Amino acid sequence: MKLIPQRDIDIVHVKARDKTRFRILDFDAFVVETAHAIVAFFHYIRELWQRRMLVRVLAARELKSSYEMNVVGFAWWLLEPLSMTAVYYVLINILRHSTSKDPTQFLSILIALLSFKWFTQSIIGSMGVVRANSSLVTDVYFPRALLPVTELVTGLAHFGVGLLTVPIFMFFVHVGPGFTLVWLPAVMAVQFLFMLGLAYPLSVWGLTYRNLPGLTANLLRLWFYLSPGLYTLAAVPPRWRTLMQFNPLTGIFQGYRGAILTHTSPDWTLLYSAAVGAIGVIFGGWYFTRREANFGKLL
Amino acid sequence: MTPRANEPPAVRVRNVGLRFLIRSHNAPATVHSGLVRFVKSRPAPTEFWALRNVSFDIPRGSVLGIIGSNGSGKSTLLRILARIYAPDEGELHIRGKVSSLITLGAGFQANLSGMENIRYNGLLLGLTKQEIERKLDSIVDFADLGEFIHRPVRTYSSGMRARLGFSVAIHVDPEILVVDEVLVVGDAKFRKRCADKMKDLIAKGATVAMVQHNMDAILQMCDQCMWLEKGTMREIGAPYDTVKHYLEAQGLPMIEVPADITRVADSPTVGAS
Repeated sequence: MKLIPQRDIDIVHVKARDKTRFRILDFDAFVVETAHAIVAFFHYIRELWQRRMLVRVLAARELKSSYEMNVVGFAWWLLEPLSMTAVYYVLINILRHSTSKDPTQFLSILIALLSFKWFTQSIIGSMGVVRANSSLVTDVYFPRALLPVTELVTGLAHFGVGLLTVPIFMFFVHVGPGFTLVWLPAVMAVQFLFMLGLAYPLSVWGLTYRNLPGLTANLLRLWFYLSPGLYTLAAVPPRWRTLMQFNPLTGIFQGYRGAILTHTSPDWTLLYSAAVGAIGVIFGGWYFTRREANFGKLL
Repeated sequence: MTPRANEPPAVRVRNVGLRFLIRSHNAPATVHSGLVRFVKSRPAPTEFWALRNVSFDIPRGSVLGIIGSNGSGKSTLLRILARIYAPDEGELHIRGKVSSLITLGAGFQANLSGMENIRYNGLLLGLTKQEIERKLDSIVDFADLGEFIHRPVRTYSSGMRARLGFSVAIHVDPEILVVDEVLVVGDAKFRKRCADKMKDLIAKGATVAMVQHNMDAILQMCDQCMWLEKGTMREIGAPYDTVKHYLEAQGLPMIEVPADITRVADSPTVGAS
């Protein structure tokens, strides 16, 4: 049995009124032309773009089903990162036998934890997203690659609400907003890209291996400890620092802190994370589109 | 509209097969079971071909009826045409926008009102937001649910759900319509309206593939009829002949019906399904 089934069929999906693109007079010639998987892949991407509204609707549905869309629901979601930050804050300062001289430490941890919460929630969620939408997957055609995106957008909504607490702590430690806030959307975009690259293959494997989320959750936590989340990059011994910069989460965490807290523009590490993310999305997305035809059968 | 001979068919299927892999044990696959399988090679899962060597064309603007006993692969074939399954072998070429009526109201949200579900389901079926708003009145009229359109779908009866689902799906204005025996739902009046609407679509040039157990509907609506048995094509040809042979094989005599029959979905079934 081959691991990746050879899809030697291409499903041509052309609108009859399609004016310019892919308009070939001879039907058989058309078949030959679209036999290349790459053409089909671009075709698929175009279809994804056409159906992008679906992401919003599916994400809204998920948000509505998990929380009542009201203030209490969102406040409840804030409780977790805030309490988690408190736990880590206390833990770190006990281990160090003294309180940190840096008054922004709590805020620094909070920012990283909010970002990481988006990360874990989306990655773990994407592993179950196909199964969660099984009634759609078995009965309606739509590009399945929208499903992991939906998961990321749901997490983004939570992340956005979580970020609203940050100004409160900024006020307490007397940190004003800087012009570097314009980088915030860019850092979020990089994180989105990076997560998507991971979410695509993991959503395929999560469908087959049901106990994958539990294992992944622990691996992600380990990854977080090895990233400058609970500490800043400056606190890392110099000989480990360079190595740590090749961790894509480093650029993202440092990017958030720079934009919000220390008023510094992102450096090359963010660009590096974006590059890793882009490669992940291309290969992960490719892999996903090759496997998605089997989703209906696996459910 | 008669099928145009010089035009490429809307659907072309060549030697299509679809396979299910049946694992020998029942427990769901886990990470460790995957590792174990990787280390010591277990017997490969048994293959089950739900469909094999299926080839046919559906010319643009014509109707293909699919008949066969339960488990013969009819629904699997429709799911392939609807792009839900990709075939494991063979070629499939589809020209045009496909709308499928496989499960009516797939993905309906029980807690949302009928109105909200129209918008949601419309997007799922590939309509744009603007198209949905434009067609909203027509969809509501066709479903004809009265006051219930503003109530949550969980309060609907199964027939009402099906009406709403059919109404949305039919308004997608598909070039290719894939129908799985959904015309049996609803009351006689609604069935008649569904049949009329489908005839309307066909007259406008839509191509249809439908699974039917109602032989009358096959005889009246289809241009060709396929008989599937155990995942392979037993016969494809003129509806009258295929239906006759199918019924004979079931041990049921075919009752001759006058050619000018006008009753459609609410007419009594010839033979039995």
